[in-house]
Amino acid sequence: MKTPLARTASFFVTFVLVLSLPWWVSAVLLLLLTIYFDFYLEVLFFGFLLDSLYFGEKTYIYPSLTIATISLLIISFVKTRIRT
Amino acid sequence: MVVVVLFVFLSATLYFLGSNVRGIFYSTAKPVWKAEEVLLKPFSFIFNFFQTKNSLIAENIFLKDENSSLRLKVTDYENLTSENNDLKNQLGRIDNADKIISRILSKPPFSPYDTFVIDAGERDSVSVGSKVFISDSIVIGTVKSVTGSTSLVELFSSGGFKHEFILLRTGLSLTLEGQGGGNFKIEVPKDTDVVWGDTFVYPGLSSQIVGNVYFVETNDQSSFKTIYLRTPLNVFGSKYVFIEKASI
Repeated sequence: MKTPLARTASFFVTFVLVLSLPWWVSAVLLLLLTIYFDFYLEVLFFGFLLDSLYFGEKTYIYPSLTIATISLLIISFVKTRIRT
Repeated sequence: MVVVVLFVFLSATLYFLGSNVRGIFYSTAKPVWKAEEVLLKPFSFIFNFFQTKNSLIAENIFLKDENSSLRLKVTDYENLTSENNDLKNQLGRIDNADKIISRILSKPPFSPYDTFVIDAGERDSVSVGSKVFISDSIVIGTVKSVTGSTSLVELFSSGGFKHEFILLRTGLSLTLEGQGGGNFKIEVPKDTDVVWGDTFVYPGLSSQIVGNVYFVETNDQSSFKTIYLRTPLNVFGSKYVFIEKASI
């Protein structure tokens, strides 16, 4: 299930879902995908996408991108700890 | 390490090339948003099939009554509007703000920041700061960023947004704080003259309604009262908005 093909397919499906689902559903979905896949870097892209589409401010800290980065770091850290 | 580098790279891209990136994503997202609307439209009234005949008859009668009373109000409104414009013309103050209609492509709850994406942009003479209306006289926000054919609208009610508005009844100027979802809050001294039903308007010549007071919270132990307001119409139920054109 975690083949590169599955990961690519899930990227495109998630892309469409992030655009068409309420933001909190997308957030839960992205969290689940980050837990499911190893080192799910794509989550940064989706944070970037949400900020580009809906966040109009010119700032140094972009909320969705920052949350995505922190979540990815925490989940990756916890997963590594559980394995070792 | 890769994560941090990517984070910095993406943040910098958004910071320096924000409008270009936005333009690319909007053109990619537009077909998805349009297809979603077409696909979901047939299912939007699915629950109406399960209503009983009696409830539909009662609703029909109520709506007919409401319709006839609203027609009378529209006639009054049109008379008053033309009278108001005539008076302004006589005083040499012409309110000739030109508006264009635009379709909402994406709105909350799809957007996490109380923002709208609309299908009018620079090509339609929309510019950053243009006011956005939900009806002739109800203003809901301003244009935050513009690309060629789309714009991002920020609602006045966005969380943390603070703006000064005028209390129509007394002319008092107060700073409202956005609470999200078309809601506002303001804390004022207890003896300030603000009551339930009061209307706040955007500062300017014509009265552009921002919100109405729907709840006033007072506490015996506090010398302040908290006032809650909301936009008169459901902002998220609308499919179209009107944008004030940039004057050339």
